[in-house]
Amino acid sequence: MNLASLRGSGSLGWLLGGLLLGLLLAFPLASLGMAGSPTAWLRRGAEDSLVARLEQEQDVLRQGVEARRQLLAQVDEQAAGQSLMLGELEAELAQNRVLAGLTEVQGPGVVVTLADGDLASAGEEPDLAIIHDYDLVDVLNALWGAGAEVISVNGDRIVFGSYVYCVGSTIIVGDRRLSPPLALQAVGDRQRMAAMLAQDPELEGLRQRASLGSVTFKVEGREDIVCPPYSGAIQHRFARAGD
Amino acid sequence: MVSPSLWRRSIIVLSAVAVGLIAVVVAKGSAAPPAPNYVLEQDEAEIVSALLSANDGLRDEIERLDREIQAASSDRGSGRLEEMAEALNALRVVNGDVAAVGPGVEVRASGDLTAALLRDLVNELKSAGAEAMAIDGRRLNLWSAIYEGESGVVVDGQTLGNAATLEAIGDAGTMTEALERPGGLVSLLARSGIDVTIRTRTGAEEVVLPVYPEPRAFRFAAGR
Repeated sequence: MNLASLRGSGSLGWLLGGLLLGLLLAFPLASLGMAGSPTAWLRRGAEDSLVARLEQEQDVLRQGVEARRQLLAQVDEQAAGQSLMLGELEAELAQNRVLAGLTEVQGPGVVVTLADGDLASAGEEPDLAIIHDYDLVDVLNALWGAGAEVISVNGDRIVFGSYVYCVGSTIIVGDRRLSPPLALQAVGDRQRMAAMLAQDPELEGLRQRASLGSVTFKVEGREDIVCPPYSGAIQHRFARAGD
Repeated sequence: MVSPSLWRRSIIVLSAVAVGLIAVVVAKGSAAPPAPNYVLEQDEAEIVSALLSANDGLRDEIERLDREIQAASSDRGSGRLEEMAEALNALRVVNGDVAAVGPGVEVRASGDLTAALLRDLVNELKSAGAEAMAIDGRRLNLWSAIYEGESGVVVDGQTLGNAATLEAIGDAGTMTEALERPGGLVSLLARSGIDVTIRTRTGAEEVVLPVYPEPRAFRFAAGR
């Protein structure tokens, strides 16, 4: 059957119509990932909703932890008023809660913004336009080195057990999955922290990427920063106090 | 009875639909290799696993706090004193305000150590649940900084040599597994010419970490 005979019999219209229908049917399926794996798109949907459900559950659990810590501090404070020994213990507990990151604190400091750049204009090196886990580790390290007393990232307090790693396009900080832009709030000596971020040789690569417009690395001094308490669990299953 | 021309048109339409489907699937397949899908699924499994573990930890913390609140509300005597002392000791361990003892690992890294690699090692151990740590016998803290000095890597003001020993208290199996997994930090460090040996420290050989040398006090941060 040649083109002329198709045209003559009126079948060309049917052929083109069928082809169009096939393309229209195929595009939505392909965009769902069905082309790569017949079940991948089904699985993705289920996992996305599972992640969202677990994150919602975590928010509720964290609120529960925070509320109980506040209540316990109040109960201890009341008890402390009734006994000298309890009072001394409560004072030490309160001080250690502050140092461990379990209470809200405020003070002067800096806000550091880290954000991905435009991947489309990154050319052959898209990695340069992405904020990586090691960028965050390096900035946190520089801030601690410059005497930061308290740091939070996107509203989550950094504590001793906080760790940072990349999973896909997200950065996990402690138990939280964060996506850039990241806002680091650090309470401490503003000048010292800003100078460290501007001069630390280990941040040279990040500063260069920022100066080229590949990523955002911005430091702003603030009169008053409020860092929320850590609402996660502090692990102490193995370590015990020695002599 | 279906006419021959209708048969022919139906076959043409069905064939064209099939060709359209195949064309898009082939184009999609050649444009995007299957690897990214695989990586995404792996990533999501990792995220789900981390969330499940974190939420379990939070539930345990809630149970522990409930017990503490109940005891605090009902007992103002010596029982409460003991509990407060226990809670205080736990926080002192976290803050490095007291020596820490427990099972764990000793990780010795030797070679051309850099501050960045040592930070990776500390970060990896924390992600595997390290509860307290020291480098070359010096306790690490929340605010510990590891950076390049003029004559080597510096940890909180102390310059290290070409080798460093990290001691970490936590689940020795989990920490060892995390470091030694295929493509993990030990193999990564080996590619940078750094030799890493891991020794489990349990029982009579438990890890003992000293107190953090300088007491911490805030100058800028204040409670609200």
